Amino acid sequence: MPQEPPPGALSSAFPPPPTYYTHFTGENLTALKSHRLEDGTPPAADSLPEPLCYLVPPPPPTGSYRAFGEEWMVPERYPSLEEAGIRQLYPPTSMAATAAANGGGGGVDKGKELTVDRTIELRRLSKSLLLNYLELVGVMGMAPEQFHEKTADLETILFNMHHLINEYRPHQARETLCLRMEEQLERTRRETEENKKAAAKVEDILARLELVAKQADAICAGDGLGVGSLGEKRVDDGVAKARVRDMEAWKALVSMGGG
Amino acid sequence: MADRLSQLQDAIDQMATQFFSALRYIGTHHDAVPVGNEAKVTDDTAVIDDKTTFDAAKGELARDLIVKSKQIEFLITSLPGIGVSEDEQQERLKNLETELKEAEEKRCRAVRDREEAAEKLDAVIRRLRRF
Repeated sequence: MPQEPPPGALSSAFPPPPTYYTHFTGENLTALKSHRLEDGTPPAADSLPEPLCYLVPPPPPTGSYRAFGEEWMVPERYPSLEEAGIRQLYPPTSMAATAAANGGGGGVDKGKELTVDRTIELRRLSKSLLLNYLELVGVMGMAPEQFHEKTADLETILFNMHHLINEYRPHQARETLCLRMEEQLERTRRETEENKKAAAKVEDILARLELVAKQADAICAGDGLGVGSLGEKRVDDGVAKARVRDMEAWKALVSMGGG
Repeated sequence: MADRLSQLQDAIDQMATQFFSALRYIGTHHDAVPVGNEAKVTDDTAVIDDKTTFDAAKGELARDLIVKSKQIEFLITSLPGIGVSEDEQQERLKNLETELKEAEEKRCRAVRDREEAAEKLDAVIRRLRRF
């Protein structure tokens, strides 16, 4: 056994890390490497000397294990009512199907009838809950000391209802996942659409600007800038051309409505 | 808001609490009736309501129970995914997954297109300004 944990280590809400982490030193890790088997797998923990055996993870638990103060089954499944010592009031057909669903095994149409069954059973149970209460009140009026029987019945019914609902949970989880995925799909498609629209708009603007440039060139060419010396003319020509082009571009942009 | 199943479980728990409190109210607020010629029994711990209040309270408690029961029934009928088998759900999930992957690819492409377009526009605007 590893050395005793400090008191309170297992029961506190935020327990400290297990004490064996102190054995994970560089020295110990190198020592462990020399113990490796031929195929490179680490050897079994019990064949190692004292500090090294804490470095090898234990085999996974079988049957059940405890965590957060509760017993968990391996593989995980919801314990049946009978296992908890409570009489099951609904027919066992749904139990077999649930076992199959829990184990992930195949089965034809196991869920469909199951859910329909379950709602019917739940309604039946809620009716008998009320009826049993009525009987309890009656018993209390006649012979108050005989209440045990009726309260026990009520308790059984309540346990059964809760159990049925809990069995339904995986089904609901899958259903919720479906819905979330549909939402995400919708969102992604919308985003694609918007991006496409934005790109198209930009292309549109570019096309118009190109047109503007051509127009400006045409206007400049038609202006007959033939005055002044040759060098001056070239500069003037360029400035005038740019001015016209800018004006046309602004016009185009404004006509697009700030596009 | 909690999911339907939790709502249903809460409603059932509330119903059980109502069972208890209704009985307790009757137990602690009722008036005693003398048997034959004996003197009327008095109980110091009980708070005795007069007959009209008591009857009204009884009626209200009964009505609340019925309302709660109806609520439970409503919740049961509105449980999600009734009549859908697990295989159908799995099938649907698989289809959704592939569709999502396709949509995501398309979205990435669209984003790239948009960015390219923006860059092009940017370059053109720079050229426009400069002389």
